[in-house]
Amino acid sequence: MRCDEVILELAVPSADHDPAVMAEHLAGCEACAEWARRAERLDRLWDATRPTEPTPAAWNAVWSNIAEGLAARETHPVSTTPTPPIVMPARRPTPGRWITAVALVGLAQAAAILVALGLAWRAPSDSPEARLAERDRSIRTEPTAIRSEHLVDPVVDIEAGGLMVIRFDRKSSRLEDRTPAEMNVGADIGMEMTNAMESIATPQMAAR
Amino acid sequence: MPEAPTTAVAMPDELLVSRARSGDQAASAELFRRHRDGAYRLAYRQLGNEHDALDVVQESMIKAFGALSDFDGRSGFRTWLMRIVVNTALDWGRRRNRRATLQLGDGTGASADIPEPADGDDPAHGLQREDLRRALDRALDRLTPALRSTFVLFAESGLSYKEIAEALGIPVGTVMSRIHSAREKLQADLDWDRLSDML
Repeated sequence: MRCDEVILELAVPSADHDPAVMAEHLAGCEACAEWARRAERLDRLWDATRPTEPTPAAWNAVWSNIAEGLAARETHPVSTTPTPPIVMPARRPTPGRWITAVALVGLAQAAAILVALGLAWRAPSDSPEARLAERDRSIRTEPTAIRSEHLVDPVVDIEAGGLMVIRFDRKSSRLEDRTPAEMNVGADIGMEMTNAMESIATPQMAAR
Repeated sequence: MPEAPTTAVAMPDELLVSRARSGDQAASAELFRRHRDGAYRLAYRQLGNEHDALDVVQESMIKAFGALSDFDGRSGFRTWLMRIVVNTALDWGRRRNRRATLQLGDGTGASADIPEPADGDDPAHGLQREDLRRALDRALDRLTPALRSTFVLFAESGLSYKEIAEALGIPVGTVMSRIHSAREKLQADLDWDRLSDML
């Protein structure tokens, strides 16, 4: 027998093992023998602390109380019918809930479309046409500094009546759309005024 | 309490249960007489106090006789009753702990109905026994309720592993592992150097 089997048999006797084999193991294994001694002392402690039996008078008093309790139950019977499980009533859908649900779905779809557009806008494009279109768009819409080498052969599409301002300094040049407001629908009025004041101060203009 | 009729001595529990269901108080009294000691010892080991143990027996018997219609006979009446005693003792212990928290040392617990241990001739022996009881009770208190209930059923009720499993509603393997674990903890917790002199 292995030690774990011996200890299991000592703790939870099953009578599956031959006592002679157990005794032989315990005789040769000090650890299991110590476990067996402790188990035996616990059994002795258990026996030594058995409760004192109540007196017959105490039992009679208990029985009287039980009979009284049962009689009281018969007078006021306690239902032994199992309590039915609590069933939560189904919530009725209200118009407000439907509106909220539809609005949430709509918002989710709008968010998805915006994300898709944003990704398409930010995605790099490798075709020459796309690069040109991108540069054209930046020139048209963003009057920010452009490196001079980018303007070696600039493709600038100025509509009839349109007005563009090109500014140069040592390292870069800048193209600004100065098309009047009626020609450039949607332009920033503030930017228009700023540009007008700048063009008065630096009269280098190009027009077609 | 009425004395048990002599014919009831050999009557199986199942028949007494059947009679008790139909309102035969003598049958109920016989069931009480047969199982009161086992129920008392079980409750005492769960609670460590004779007065509380008697109260638990009383409450458990009222519950059992009041719910005989729920007893389906799949396990024996004794197993079913022991389950009720264990659960009632657990509830009782929880209520007692709450009370003890609220009113520390109110001095209650002794009862005129409960005799002192029958060691009156030798006060030293009585004190020794009290020391042993306290030591064992402290060690039992350190077990979880599940371990304590299982071990007490094993050590005190005389139920088989299968009956303990039925009483607690757990697999037999769990019963055995709980008994093993409880025994190891008790053996490790008790101060054997001090207790061995008293045993």
